[in-house]
Amino acid sequence: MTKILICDDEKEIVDALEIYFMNEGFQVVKAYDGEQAVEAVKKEEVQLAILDIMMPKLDGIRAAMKIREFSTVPIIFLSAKSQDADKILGLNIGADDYITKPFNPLEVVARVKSNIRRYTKLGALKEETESIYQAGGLVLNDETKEVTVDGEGVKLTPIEYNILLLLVKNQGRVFSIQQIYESIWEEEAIGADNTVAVHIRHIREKIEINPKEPKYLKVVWGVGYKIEKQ
Amino acid sequence: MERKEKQMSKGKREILLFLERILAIGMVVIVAFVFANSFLSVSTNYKTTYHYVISPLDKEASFENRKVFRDLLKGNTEKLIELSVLRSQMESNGVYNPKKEVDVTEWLRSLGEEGGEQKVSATYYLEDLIKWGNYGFEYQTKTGTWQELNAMLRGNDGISTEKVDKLQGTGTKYAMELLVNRYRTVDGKELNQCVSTVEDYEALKANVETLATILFENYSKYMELLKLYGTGQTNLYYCVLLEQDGKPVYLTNTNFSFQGMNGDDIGEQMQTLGERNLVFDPSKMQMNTNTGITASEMRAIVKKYNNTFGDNSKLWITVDTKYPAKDDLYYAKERIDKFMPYYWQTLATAVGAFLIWLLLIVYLCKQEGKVLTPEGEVQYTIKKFDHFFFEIWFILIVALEIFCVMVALQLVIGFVNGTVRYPWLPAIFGVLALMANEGFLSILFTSLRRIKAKKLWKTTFVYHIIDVLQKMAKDTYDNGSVASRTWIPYLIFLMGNLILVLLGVGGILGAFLLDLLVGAYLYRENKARKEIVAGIETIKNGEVNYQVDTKHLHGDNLILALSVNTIGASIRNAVETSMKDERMKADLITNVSHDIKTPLTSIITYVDLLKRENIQDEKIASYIAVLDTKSQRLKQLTDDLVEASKISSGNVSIQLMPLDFSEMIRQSLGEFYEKFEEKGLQVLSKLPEEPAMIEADPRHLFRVMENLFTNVYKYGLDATRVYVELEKVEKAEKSFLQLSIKNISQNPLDRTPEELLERFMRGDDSRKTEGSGLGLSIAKNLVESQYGQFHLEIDGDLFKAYVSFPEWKEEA
Repeated sequence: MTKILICDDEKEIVDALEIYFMNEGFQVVKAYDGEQAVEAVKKEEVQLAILDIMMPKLDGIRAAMKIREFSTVPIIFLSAKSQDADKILGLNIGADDYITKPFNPLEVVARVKSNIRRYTKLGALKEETESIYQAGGLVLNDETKEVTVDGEGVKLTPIEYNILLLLVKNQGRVFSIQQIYESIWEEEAIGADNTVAVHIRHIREKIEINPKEPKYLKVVWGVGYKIEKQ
Repeated sequence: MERKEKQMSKGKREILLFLERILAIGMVVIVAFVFANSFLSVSTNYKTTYHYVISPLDKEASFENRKVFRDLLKGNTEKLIELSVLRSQMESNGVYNPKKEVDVTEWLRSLGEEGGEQKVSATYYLEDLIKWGNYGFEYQTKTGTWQELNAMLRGNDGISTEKVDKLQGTGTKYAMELLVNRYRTVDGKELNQCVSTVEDYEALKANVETLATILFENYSKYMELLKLYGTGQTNLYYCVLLEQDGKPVYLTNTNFSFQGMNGDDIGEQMQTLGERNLVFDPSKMQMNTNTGITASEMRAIVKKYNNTFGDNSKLWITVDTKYPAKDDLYYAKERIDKFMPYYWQTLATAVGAFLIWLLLIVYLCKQEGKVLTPEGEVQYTIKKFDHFFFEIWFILIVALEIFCVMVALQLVIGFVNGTVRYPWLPAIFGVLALMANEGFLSILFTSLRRIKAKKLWKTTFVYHIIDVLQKMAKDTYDNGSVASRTWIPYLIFLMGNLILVLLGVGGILGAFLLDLLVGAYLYRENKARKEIVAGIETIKNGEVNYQVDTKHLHGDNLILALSVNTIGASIRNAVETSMKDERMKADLITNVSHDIKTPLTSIITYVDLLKRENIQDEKIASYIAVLDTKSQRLKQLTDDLVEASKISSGNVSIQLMPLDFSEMIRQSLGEFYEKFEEKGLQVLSKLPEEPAMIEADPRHLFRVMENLFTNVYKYGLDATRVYVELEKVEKAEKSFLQLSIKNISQNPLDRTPEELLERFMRGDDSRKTEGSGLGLSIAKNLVESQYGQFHLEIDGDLFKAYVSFPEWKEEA
């Protein structure tokens, strides 16, 4: 059974999250300040830690830094601070994800799962053949036309698959709507309008935990789309 | 080492000034002293004074080679010749002969006097004539008939009547002035007995009177000169050969007897008496001397006495250069020998004093007016006394200096003429030096203080006059009524032109110049006004930091410019204050929203948990649905609030980069595809095929698009068309890419676009829907912070939003 740590000075939030995670079959260790969190990581064999940032005694940032001194366990921040600067700071000191309050509980669960999968299966999937394309946790098997995100299968339409394949094959490169249209439909993009954009959105909704903050399929506004090189 | 400025103490300054005065006076006194001593006045035996300037450069020259020696010798020679002439008159065989018989008329003739041509004469003893001349002549009036008068004269043989007329008288009685016979002739006769006619008596009487007078004078002179050039009285020895009564006579003051000697022997004899000799022979026009006197000079002297000193005369003079006698030569030599033994040293002292004086003056000048503030900074101040008008002071001092120089000149002239005694010269010069120096110091120091304190110009009389005039003009200009300000200068200008033109060609040129100047002035004023107007425009256009340059402005323009600057500054202050307020507000909102978010998280989470419970009661389920919606709305509201406050306070970082606006629109439309479909909104887009490049921050621009499309989604009437167009427009000569979004509102729009853009301001009915009402406001602020333009239009139920950005070109 997977054991995770949830730390927040609001007891109700911890309790609520515990309910969600219990339902998903997790074992939850609870903590209400930074010091307790560090202790818990030390003593309990947790596989992931969810930390609030604004906490008494030891704030989330400091607690995460202390934890990083002895552990590589995935850390997800849970904070009311929604500024870009706060997120960048959190991720820079070694956190693996950053979720702003108020959050969608199901998204928290999805992200925790995703992070644990990546953490535990890190380096497991190395058999990259000619027909398998990978970008982080996103894997495309061109032979079976199967797509998995962090090991979970995703169902895509053929056009969506082709678009995703084009982008994964050319990781890091930005494709404009016109380029995507011309290479997928193999005809000139006259009045392509928002067909490609709509498809892209559908793909994002299928492979991303939060389509508004995509991890794989990024929108480069005013230029096009790309798969971030992992 | 830092060199510290020091302020001279008052005591030190007084001491230095005292020293300066001493030096100035000393210097002048020394120079006067040197001058007085270099100036040699020699009084001669014969009451003439010679002036010489002795230079130390010719100090080595012996006295006998000097001009003073020659001049003295020349003068003495002349006197000696005079003496010899007198001696020939008064003496016989080299001795004074009072019993010398003098034929009156003949003597007069030989002297070249008037009366010598008369036929009648009488012979008196020399002594008697001299005495007669000394005592004077007495007369007695004899009256009588013609016969009676005639009888007095020797051998009367009748006189013509015409000659009688010369006598004074009337009728038969005549009066005649008879000379009282103080002395008788050699043969014992009275004067009247020597003539036979009245006419002859008158002539002889005149001759006797003339000669007696002359002889008395000559006798005095003779005695004087004889004494002057007597043995032991003079350092000159002379020997004069004169012809008297046809035989040679030697006149000399030596003990030698030259009678019968020839000329060369006499010369040799004379040379034994002294080193400097002179021999002159008028007949041969020959001169032989080692005294430096030239033959022509000698001839000029002798010429005056050529009656006596004729061709057969000869002159020997010898100077005893041991100068045993205390005569004029002796005194002159003494003066020269004693001349200024320390001449150069004295002059060097004067030069030294001058140099020290100069140094003192320079030092004092440097220190003058300098004052140290308590902080140690150097300041230059002027004294109360320095406020006195500079020119007047200057003129007074110049007058004083001129006075001193004039007095000095008078002194020098007086000294040369001998009216000023020697010791007075340096003394009075010293006093003058003190006066002149005081004047010099006062004008020097006051000028320096004024210059250093930069007040020289301001303490002049001219400045005060100009200042008063300027103030009057400025007063008229600044405070006068518009009418006086306009008309007075204009009338002056017209009058000036008129007067100048009446003056002729030059005046017309002057008038032309005046007009040019006035034109230039008007141009300058207008230019200044234009600058101010430009400044106002700039401030109006939002550049509140702009300041009009007031350096060259005057009068109304200056007031105007200062006011504009003040207004600009006020606006800037207001803007800054409001920005600060906004930022504080934003911080407040951010902090408050953090505190709201934590409980909100719990609410949302527990509402979600409630939803998961299998609740059969529909009433409860509907309550939970309300909770769910409202908590979600609260979340949205909080986020929007933070964002709006951040953007409007300028607290958001913008990173501009080139991007394709139409691609952006396509991508955004893709994001909203399902939402629009859900409400049956049909998007009709008209986007250019070629890239529409603009410069913007992609994330912020997407936020704008998101807000605009969200707005369409929320407030658009179901199943209507939405027009999305991107086109190129020209605004203010610049190319813009303009996005327009048009849709039909589901509720009547009874608000103006401005009201829509105000926070929390929305159409009344829309309050019931979700959303914070901040979307449009955020969009507008974001567009403007990316240098784009945003505006809304409402036409009935048609809602139009326009977003435009300047077209971006690669080379720009």
